[in-house]
Amino acid sequence: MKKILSILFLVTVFVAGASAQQLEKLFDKYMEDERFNYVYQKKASMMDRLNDTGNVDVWVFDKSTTSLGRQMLTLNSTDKSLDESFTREVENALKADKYEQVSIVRNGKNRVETYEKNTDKGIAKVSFIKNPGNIMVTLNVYAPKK
Amino acid sequence: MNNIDNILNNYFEGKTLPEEESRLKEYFRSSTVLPQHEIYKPLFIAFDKEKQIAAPVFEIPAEKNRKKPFPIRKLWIAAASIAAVTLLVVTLFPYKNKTGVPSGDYLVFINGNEVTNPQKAQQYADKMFMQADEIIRTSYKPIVEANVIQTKMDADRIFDDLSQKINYMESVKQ
Repeated sequence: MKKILSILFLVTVFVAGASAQQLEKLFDKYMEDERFNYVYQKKASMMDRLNDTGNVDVWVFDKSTTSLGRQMLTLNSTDKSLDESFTREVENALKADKYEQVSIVRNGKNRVETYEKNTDKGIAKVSFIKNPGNIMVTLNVYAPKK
Repeated sequence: MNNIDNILNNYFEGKTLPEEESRLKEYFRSSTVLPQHEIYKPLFIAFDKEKQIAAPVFEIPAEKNRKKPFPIRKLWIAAASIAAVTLLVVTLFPYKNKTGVPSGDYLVFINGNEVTNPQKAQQYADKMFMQADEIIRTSYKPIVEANVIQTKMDADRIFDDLSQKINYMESVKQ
């Protein structure tokens, strides 16, 4: 019986570890931090999505997908070391979650990177904006319409 | 009195019979206790009092009495099973409130403080998302423009357009 329970426990721990996304953990970690601003929208409407005209993604306008929510974490800081450590954390989370880099745009000191990943729910898309003193991470999740 | 002394000696050696002990108690209860025996009087009076104290009767409720004691092993297994199932449910169906998906449509924290007014939360969220979109739009503008130029400067397309125009002009001449 003890063996069965031990196996059940290990399986549970494994499932817990596998399902926890590092980027989402990062949002959870800093959302209530006074140095950050956090915004979450349960389900972006089609109008909200049409406002995303700056996004080069064609699938943003694709009516065959539906939004599963979007969230954004912003760090407004003059502390350079905090900027760097947070940037490193985001990059590590993206790497751990196996996001694919889609594009990088550099404009002077400003930098915008986009990433995406296919998940069991649909497509997760991340925009990582690195401006001096202003770092933003947005996560949009889209699912195919049934 | 020698007899009392003998009984006392036997009493302290633990050799007295029940009758002899009764006799001793009666003697110490009486008013004829000799001065040399006064020292033992409190002891036998205490024994007498002790006899009057009845131990409280602990009655086990009949219902509980019928139940078998719950083995610790079974309790441990039950607790472990409940913990495992709870962990599994929490993992597979995560309920997020403050640390994730809220019950409302918007969740906004500004510098660690939650915006509890739903309308203000929505306004702020829209503003923040638009700001991020604007940054992305501005960043990608040169790429979009480059794509437009590239499309316009496409040699195949230019030749196609030209040949169409020539064909049209020739057809008009004829």
